[in-house]
Amino acid sequence: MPVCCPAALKSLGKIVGQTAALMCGQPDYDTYVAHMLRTHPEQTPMTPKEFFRNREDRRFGVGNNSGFRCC
Amino acid sequence: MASATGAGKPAVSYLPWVGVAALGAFALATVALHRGESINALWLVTAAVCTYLIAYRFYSLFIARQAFELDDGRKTPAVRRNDGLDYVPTDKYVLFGHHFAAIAGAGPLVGPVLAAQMGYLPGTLWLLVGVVFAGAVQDFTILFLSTRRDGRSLGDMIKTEMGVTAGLIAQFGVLAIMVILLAVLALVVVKALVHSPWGTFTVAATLPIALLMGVYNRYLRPGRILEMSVIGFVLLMAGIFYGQTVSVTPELARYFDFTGETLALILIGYGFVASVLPVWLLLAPRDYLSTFLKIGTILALAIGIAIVMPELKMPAVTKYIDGTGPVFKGALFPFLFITIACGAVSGFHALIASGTTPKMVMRESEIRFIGYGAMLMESMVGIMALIAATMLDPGVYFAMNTPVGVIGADPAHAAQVISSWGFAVTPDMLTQAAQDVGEKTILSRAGGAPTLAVGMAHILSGILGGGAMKAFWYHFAILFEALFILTTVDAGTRVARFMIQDLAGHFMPFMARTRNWAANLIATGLACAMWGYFLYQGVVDPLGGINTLWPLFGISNQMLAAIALILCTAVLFKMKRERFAVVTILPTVWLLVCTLTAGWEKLFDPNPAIGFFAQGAKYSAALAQGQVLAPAKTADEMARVIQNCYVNAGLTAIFIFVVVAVIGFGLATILRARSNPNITTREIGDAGVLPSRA
Repeated sequence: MPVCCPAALKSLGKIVGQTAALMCGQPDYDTYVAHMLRTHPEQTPMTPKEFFRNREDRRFGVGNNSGFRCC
Repeated sequence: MASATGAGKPAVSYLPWVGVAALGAFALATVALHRGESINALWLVTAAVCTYLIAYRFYSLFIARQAFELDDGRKTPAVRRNDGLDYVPTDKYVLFGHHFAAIAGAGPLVGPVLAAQMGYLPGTLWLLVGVVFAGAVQDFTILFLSTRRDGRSLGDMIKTEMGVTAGLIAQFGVLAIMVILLAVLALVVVKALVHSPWGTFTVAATLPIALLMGVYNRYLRPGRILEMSVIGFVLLMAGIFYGQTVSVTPELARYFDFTGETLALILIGYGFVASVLPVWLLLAPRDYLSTFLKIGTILALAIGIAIVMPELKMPAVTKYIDGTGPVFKGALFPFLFITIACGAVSGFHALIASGTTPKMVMRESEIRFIGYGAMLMESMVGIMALIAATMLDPGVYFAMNTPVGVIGADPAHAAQVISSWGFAVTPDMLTQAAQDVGEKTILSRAGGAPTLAVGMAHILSGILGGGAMKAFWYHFAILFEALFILTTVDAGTRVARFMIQDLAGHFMPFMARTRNWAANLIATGLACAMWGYFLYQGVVDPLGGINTLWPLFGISNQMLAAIALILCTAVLFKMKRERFAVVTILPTVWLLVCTLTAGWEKLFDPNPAIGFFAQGAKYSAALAQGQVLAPAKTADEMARVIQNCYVNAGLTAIFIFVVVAVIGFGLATILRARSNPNITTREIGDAGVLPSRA
């Protein structure tokens, strides 16, 4: 384990992980849960599995732009 | 933020920028004026990076602050409509990665490779000037407009800002462009896999791998994309290794040894199946894999170029700027500017920049980094592709990219023909080049992918594995391109299907029901039939292929960019910011001049090698007299050439019509905006329709 500034490394790792996931159309689950707890405490947030499937369907689902990338 | 200009800064803080400018100018001058044996690629990279830095620091800042007045006080849709799903305020670096992954594809890798026939200099200059003043400006502006409109799509914005008819015409144009795009990308794959059992096997192996990943991700470990992708990647590498065994084992090789026609039919059928299957099974897992592979390979290529520092062997400018080049016909103006589309300016980015990215922008000021910045990165990818193509021996480059009708299939004859053009090459060099990468022949593998793969194999084997690994890296590069092109083909077929359903829904309401199976199958079948037609004609037409389809794609892509920029200009007028409209007018006018000239020449040029009508007339006349003109070998092929001439001409005419119509609507919108003293644009958000500035 590197001893130098683990906090910075951890946040860098988090950014890289989030970027990789978002490149595939998967937004951050923790952000979603935090949002749900903050703004809709009466609703139960989706589980990670439901969230993943929901986003996957959204990316390739109905719509002119969904899931498309450039040439 | 909006009012904070650099006026108060001490002059000394600009000193580093003076240094960057001086270095860039020196590198650019070296690249431009160098007339020797060869030049190091690092000069090109330095010139490009300095240009990007200066453009980003000064021009994009000017656009952000003066032209658009980006305002962090205005809430973005991500903040206003935050739902944790579609609208999520996202860190700008994370969003940059997302946006870059969405805009970067095969385009910036193929165009520069084809344009290398004119030498490295014209392509480099257009990549740099084009991105700074056109491509990045377009991406930036559309992202800005869409962010101020709740992340509306390009088509929606054209409808609301320029009228419903303009929107419908543009939507139709986008569909036509999409069809050509899918055909030309699929053709790149076909050209790379013809009679290449190794390549075909590795690409075929991605199917079971993707299915496995799909099931893994659906039922075993949902949501573990990275984990799944690592497993997929290991299997892919195993596939490449085993592919070699397949290619040298005749009993196995014959199952993966296909003609272009067969490959085209397989791809069309596959495209249909893949886009009607549940997305989690095939499309999504391959999408994850190809995204990571793409980003990884681009990084590896960048590192490779920095370490290997290859010499560019292609002359700075070749004689083919006069339009007689073997790779594609047509003179420097306008054909260079449509051959290199992605990397300099690409209309498709307008669709991406008005897609998911605007829904995740946290602060308006970050649009500059994401919109303008990501496009600069893509331009760098184009520069790297140009380096990979021009570092090859020019003789080998032309052998790989000239149609078989010109150089034949025999290395001795090909070497003789190419040497007669002034690019000395021996038959041994051509056979050796093929052997190095584990193929039987490299002749006439047009389409960019194989050329790029040979270049990448040179670079990557220079950092890992040496000459022995060249064949592996070649097939790795082919696989990497094929994989993400096929993902684009599937996803694009789905998008085309939705577009067809949306358009047809205006006339037949039942077609618009996206959950109706019959409507889905009809629309998907139509989409596949349309791009499949152009793919198949590209394969069987002796004159067809990349050198016919790529210019059509380039013209259409740049026309889409022009349409997007017309919208941007019209909105700037409606915002009463017309004194800055030159920012978008400049690239609009240039793109219109290029694409309309190119379109006109493709239709009416008297040279049969360029003009579709001239070519059709020439072949018709010959056929009427019972002659067969090369490269056609039979009367049937003659008829096919003639038919394709008229189909391509019709398509070109449609593109021209769409653009001219949008110009008309754009001008009308601008005139209306000028005669109204109020701000008339329709922004969504806390500011709403802004009060008059007058």
